[in-house]
Amino acid sequence: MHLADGILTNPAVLLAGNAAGAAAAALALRACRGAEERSNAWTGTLAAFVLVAQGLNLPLVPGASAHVIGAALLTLTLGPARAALALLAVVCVQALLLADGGVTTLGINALHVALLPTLATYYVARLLGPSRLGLAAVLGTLLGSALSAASLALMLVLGACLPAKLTFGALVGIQSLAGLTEGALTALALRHLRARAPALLFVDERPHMSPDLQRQRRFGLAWAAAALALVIVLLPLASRAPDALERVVGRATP
Amino acid sequence: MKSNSLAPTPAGRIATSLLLVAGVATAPERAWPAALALAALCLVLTRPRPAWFLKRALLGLLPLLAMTAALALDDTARALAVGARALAALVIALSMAGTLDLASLPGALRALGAPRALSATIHAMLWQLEHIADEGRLLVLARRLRGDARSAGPEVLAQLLIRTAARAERVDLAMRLRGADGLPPPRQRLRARDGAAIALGAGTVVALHVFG
Repeated sequence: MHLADGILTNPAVLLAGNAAGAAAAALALRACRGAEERSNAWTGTLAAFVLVAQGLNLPLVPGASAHVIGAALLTLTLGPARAALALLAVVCVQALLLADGGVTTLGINALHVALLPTLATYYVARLLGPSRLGLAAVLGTLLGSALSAASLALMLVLGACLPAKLTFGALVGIQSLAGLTEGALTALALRHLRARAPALLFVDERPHMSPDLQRQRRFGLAWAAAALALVIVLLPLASRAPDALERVVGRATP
Repeated sequence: MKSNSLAPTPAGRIATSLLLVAGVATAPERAWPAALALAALCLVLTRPRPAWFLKRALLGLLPLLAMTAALALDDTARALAVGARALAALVIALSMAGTLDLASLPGALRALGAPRALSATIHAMLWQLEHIADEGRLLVLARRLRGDARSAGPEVLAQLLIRTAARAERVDLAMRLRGADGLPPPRQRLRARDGAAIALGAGTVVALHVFG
């Protein structure tokens, strides 16, 4: 989901996207402040791991594949701040040394690859609790991929004047499928990690939500997920015919 | 790029590259011929390794073609102009990237004001990159030799992470025993020749926007 240079032609969208990415990256870096140098060493090691793992392609449908992003795996092993930092490092190296993703879109790519997926996984994991890490990985990756794809599609529609239906449908659809596949892969990988090296998993020291609050939030999340799924499925089928108000206004104006 | 006392430092090259790519990517659409000419000039001056350049260029070209095709549904001429400009930006970014090496990146980023945590993470990342790639290759080879055709899957990912952690600890300990302190390299400073390269890049961008 790396956006290249020269695609967004609207300077306002380009600036706004990069500013949002830069602000979120600054927050993540601030959260990592004060940590020991050895924390940076472990973060860098996992960043290298993700850079290598991103070379693995997952077959989706015949003729199409996607590569893992690794946000969920990093979030559940490093925690959200350090995971965001690791992915920021990956995005920077990819943009500057491999020209994979543009340099004028560094903030935008950081937002979509590093920050949104990490936050989505973290908050889903907090909601579901430590006993449901696998489910958190699947739902978090799916939610993160869908959110990032929707945000990128919005920027492309506004900033590059791409057709909205095609852009949203293609990006959100394909990325959601890739997110689901990556989430399942991450959940299975976490199961192996839990069995063989549980010390590698992140322990969230913040107090967990009470069971009542968890149940309420889960209910809300389930409804939000169902609404989002309905939108994704039904959007391409939307009718182009004017609705009642548009028809009345059309008839009323000369 | 061969070592040359007149050549910009890595920080200067990154700054010039950022300036040129940003300038080309935001140039007016009518300036696409000038943008392509600038890209060709960068290619001639930097002379990146052909195999590396072609491989990266092809990977970058695919999403670019997809987006150009989507734009062409509305306006073909505009789509071609935007596509050509994006291609020029990609070629310039790759040409400049070909002059950088991994080891100089953390110091160069610090010189340009990147946060210490980010440059320290990239420094640590570069220490471990080759080892992890090695571990991945050995793991896949071992599985194939044992008759397991699945070279990519959740178990491989988990095993690679565990082996990465173990090998990273051994490498880190070995380097510290040999005197490495694990800290990122000292901040590089921008030199006068970097200023000249950046000024030249800025002038080129202004000319592209005004006369392109």
